Amino acid sequence: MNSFGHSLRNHRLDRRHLLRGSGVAVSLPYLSAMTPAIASEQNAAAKQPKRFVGVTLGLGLLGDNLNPKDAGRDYTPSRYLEQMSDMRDDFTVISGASHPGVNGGHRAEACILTAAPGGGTGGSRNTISLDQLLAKHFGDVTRFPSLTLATDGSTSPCYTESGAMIPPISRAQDLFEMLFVTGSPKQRQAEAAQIAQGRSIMDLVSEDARSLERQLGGADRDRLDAYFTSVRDLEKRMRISERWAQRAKPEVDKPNLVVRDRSDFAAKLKVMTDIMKLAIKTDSTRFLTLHLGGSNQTLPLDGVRGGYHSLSHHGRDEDKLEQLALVETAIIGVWGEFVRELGRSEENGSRLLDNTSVLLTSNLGNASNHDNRNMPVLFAGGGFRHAGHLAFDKKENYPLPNLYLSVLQQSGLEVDRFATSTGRVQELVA
Amino acid sequence: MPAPFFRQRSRKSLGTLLHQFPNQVLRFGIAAGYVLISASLVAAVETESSQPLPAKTHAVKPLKHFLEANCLDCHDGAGGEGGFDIAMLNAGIDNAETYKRWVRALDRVRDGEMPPPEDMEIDVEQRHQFVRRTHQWLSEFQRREDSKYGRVRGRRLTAQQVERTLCDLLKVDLPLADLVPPDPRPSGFAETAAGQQMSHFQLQSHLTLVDAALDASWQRLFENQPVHLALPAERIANKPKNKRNRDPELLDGAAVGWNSRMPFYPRISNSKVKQAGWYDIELNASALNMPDAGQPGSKGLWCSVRSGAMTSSAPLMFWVGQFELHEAPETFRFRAYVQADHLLEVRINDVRLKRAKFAGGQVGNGEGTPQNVPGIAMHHLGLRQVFPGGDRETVIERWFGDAPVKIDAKREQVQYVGDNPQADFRPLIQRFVALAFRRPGDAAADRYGDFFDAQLDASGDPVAALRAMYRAILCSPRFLYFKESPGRLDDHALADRISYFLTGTSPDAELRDLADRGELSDPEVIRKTIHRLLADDGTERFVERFAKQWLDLIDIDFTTPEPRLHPDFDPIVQQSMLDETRLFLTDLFRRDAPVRELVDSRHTFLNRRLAEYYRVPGLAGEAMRRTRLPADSPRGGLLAQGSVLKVTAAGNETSPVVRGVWISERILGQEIPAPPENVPAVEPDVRGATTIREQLEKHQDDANCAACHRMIDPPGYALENFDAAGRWRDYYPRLKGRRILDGAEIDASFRMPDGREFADFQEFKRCVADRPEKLAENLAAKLLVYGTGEEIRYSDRAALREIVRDLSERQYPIKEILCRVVLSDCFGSK
Repeated sequence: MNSFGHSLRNHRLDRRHLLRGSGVAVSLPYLSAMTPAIASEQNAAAKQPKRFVGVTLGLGLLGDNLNPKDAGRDYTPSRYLEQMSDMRDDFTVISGASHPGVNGGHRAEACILTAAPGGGTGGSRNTISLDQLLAKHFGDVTRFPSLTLATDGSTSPCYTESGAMIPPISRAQDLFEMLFVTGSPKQRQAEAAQIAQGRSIMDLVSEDARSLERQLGGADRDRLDAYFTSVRDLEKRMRISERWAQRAKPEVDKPNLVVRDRSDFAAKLKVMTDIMKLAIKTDSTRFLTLHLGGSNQTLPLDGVRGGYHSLSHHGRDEDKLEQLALVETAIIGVWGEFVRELGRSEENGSRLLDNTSVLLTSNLGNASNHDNRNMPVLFAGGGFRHAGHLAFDKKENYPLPNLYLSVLQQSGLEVDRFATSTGRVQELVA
Repeated sequence: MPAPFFRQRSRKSLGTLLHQFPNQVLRFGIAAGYVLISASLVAAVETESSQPLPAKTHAVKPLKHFLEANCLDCHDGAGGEGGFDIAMLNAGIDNAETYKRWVRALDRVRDGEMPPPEDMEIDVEQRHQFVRRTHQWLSEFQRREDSKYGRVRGRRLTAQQVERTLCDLLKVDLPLADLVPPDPRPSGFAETAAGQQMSHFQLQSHLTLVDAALDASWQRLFENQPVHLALPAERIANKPKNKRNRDPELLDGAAVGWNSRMPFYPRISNSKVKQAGWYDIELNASALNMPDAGQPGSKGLWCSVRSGAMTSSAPLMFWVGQFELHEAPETFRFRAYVQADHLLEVRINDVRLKRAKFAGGQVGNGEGTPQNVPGIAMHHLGLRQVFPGGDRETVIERWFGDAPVKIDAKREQVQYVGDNPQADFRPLIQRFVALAFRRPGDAAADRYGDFFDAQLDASGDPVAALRAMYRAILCSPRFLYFKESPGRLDDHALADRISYFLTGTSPDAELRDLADRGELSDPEVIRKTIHRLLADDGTERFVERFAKQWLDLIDIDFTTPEPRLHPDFDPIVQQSMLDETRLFLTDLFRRDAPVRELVDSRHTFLNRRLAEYYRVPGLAGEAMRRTRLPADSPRGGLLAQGSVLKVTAAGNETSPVVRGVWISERILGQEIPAPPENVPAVEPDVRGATTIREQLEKHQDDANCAACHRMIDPPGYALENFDAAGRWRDYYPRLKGRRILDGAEIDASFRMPDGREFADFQEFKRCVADRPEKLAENLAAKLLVYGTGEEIRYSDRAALREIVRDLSERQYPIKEILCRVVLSDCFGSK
């Protein structure tokens, strides 16, 4: 194991020297070094990896500022998209799309990536989110099957198959350490042993859960079943992490992780996307989600005085709309810069962006009245043939799960349906 | 499955399918389903089967007729009024959402809101019958479910509860819960079982807590030399000649820091502690350049102590304490948890005082003196590590009992030195299982005993095997979950509930004994237990935990008011506000005060800083003290406390809607449904309207909005005189360039939902206080949710009424309400 780690490191260092001058802080392509070694273990061909990044917002985006007036490839950039003119061939803006049967205003946050009708309203159970479905099938080749992140708060749009929400990591420092800070060989050995012991504990407590279930006469069966599944899943994950624990983590130059002003969620978003870039470049994971919830912080930006959430209830007040536009421009700016950076990075002779689908969306099409229709959608990369502005009917919305299905199929998953999808998005097919 | 609403029909429709395969159909698009159902509904009703109905459905049939006759005209299909479609009631009431819809329909018919009186008249007897039958149907359903499954389903410990329980078990004390993502609080309390998630992520988080606690406890076996720092002024100061930094400077024998805006100044580098832990901190200091020095009744300087890494790459600071500094040296004492490699900052922290300016983010010797700003002169600083979790002997006893082990502190190793590890360690297993599972060991203990044996076989090291076994026990569902069987709780389950409710951790020895002896069925024993657990600082700790969630105080840091709009708000004001609320509620519980005092009280708790902020004259001193408010002060009662006003504000602005909903739900006990879903008509086009009030008044003209806003708006408007940082204001602020001018005058008058008019906030408070039974029921409800882990369902309303019944003459004393909550059937049953 150790010698393997060393050879990786040497190789990596060489690359790093080569790339220093180009302004790329991290060695690239780490992945190509990683792929033969690990993928062969997984008995998977060294194909181009397919990744998915979802950036989700709790408070929507102003449709008038986001969606261009004209449809098609030659659209005139909207106010928000002007800053991304240089990337226009790399992304599609989709208007008039939403998740059929998903409602509940803010509560539909739970369904941004699951598209499960009623999943957020308690009317029925939520189902697996797009990122988790991908992680379930393709997540075991990387150190982390997926990463669920948020700028703040305790909610994420990521759900397991049993409908449990995955708590997000929101502390940049924790995230960075988890991804890139390696212990000494002795510490790693101890960690692996600790995980091995954890696995035998999981066996034990799952037997215990069975006997407890019998004692309780089935009253709490649902709850114990969830515990049961968790034990089984965790045991599976432990088996993978036991192997990874003994390997050194990739070394990267530490980006700025500090946001002084707690209410500067745009800066927080930037810090998180910076770490995400590193996670992608080092192939630490292939499925990432970053959630910006509906907090009410006041973004420290010239001209912005109101809290984000209050501004979203603009009631068409000009002043609030203008402030909100400044906030949203900043958010899209961070997303755009992330996409741009992936476009500049290469792996295996192709652009990182072409192997990475990057989505930006929200459960709210109109936060002012909690409307879940006409969701804002920006979709970049992933090797799709981008179509400029796909303008669907604002009254009779296009099913957005079709886009998710497209991502799944593009990733190599042979499915013909995701939630309420009716087919893949034909307009994006190369 | 219960009887679905419209079961009897002669042809299969999508609606029928929906009943039979609700999940599958839901999966394939419920929106389309709704439309079809409502169309088929009418047809189905017309061609109703004449077969005899099963008993259960008998109850439902007349309800159907009533709705069909009185509601369908407006609430038909996806475009139904108020976003409500009768067909939404169609899914079985075992669907929680459908059940809630039924309750809401019932409430609105019973209250005469629906059908709208202005649109149609409705026979009194008919209405009465509908209400009675629906009530019976819904209650009966809930009773049946509860007897089968219990009211609370599969509740588990919250991260906070896991933290406290692990600390008690392993005789340590550290803020473990900070290591994992915070528990979501979908219904306000993380304790609510329905909102608790479980997947391998949560289980992994739990394992993180278990391992951190075991590690910390293990380290305690080896008697680390407790950290003790005693710093004279010369060492508090750390500024060599010609060096500029952020440490204090030595001036006339004292370590001096000047009032300034600079972050982390003055930080005390020599106060850095190597070991994380609890510290008793003792500071002797005096004031320099007090603005009112020498004047009679001279005020002090407000200062704060905080800990942190104090670097720009790790800017997070932790509150240690606050104090008021005077010209004569005084000693101030604090106890705080300080993380490893963190140091202290002791600064003047009063935004109103003149500040020194220093160039380049550093301070050099003598740079502050000529600026003539207030300063703090420190003479002595002591930090002494303490172990509130338990001393070393206690920790060793908990790990090894009487078993023969040798502890090598130097190598940090424990060695078993007996010759029969099974015999020596078996009693430890029994004991640990009983403590961790909160009931005497049963067959479960054997399973963990076997695990110990297997680990011992594998490693040959009994100590490692013991540690592995403790780890396993703490991952068991018997540790993580409340073990409750349907029906009355057994004594141990009841002890568990009472203990976590009142103390946030597992039952103590005395309560365990009572449960072991089966004495908890006696209400008098329960009452005594409550009083015992709330004795000493028990009430204050309880209030702190409960109010943190009930009043969202946990979120108070979420926004920082913009200094320009809130020029005299600072961290000491905020901390004082939190202290006010905690002490105020503690006092009410201790005095068993009438519930009306929650909102209308002549007393509150203030120190001088908060008194000045609230404009209450004549108060001196740094200590929070119970203060009688002048007759014309709007303060007194939760609604006028800065903490509540701040968490209910929207950033720098106030919103009558946000506050109105919050006050209705948290204090008045009036649940406000979520805004209508996807109803196009509700987007308010408010261009041209000037004040927020005029904007909102449009809600009253729209029946869709008015139903809820007649409840939301009264508290919302009444509180408009308080700004986002809890300060009183008579006018809205108007921004003109950089200046802030008085804008429109605030009008806080309105009318209660029942028509009573109020002219201002004071009158509003009285309107609320004059209906104490609502306040009492609401308090009981919040305590019940927090204590049992289940929301108030329809059938629990009767229990709430029962709890406060006949307390009217005693004006609903709040500790008595708490006792009755614990003694209630809801609390005593699963």
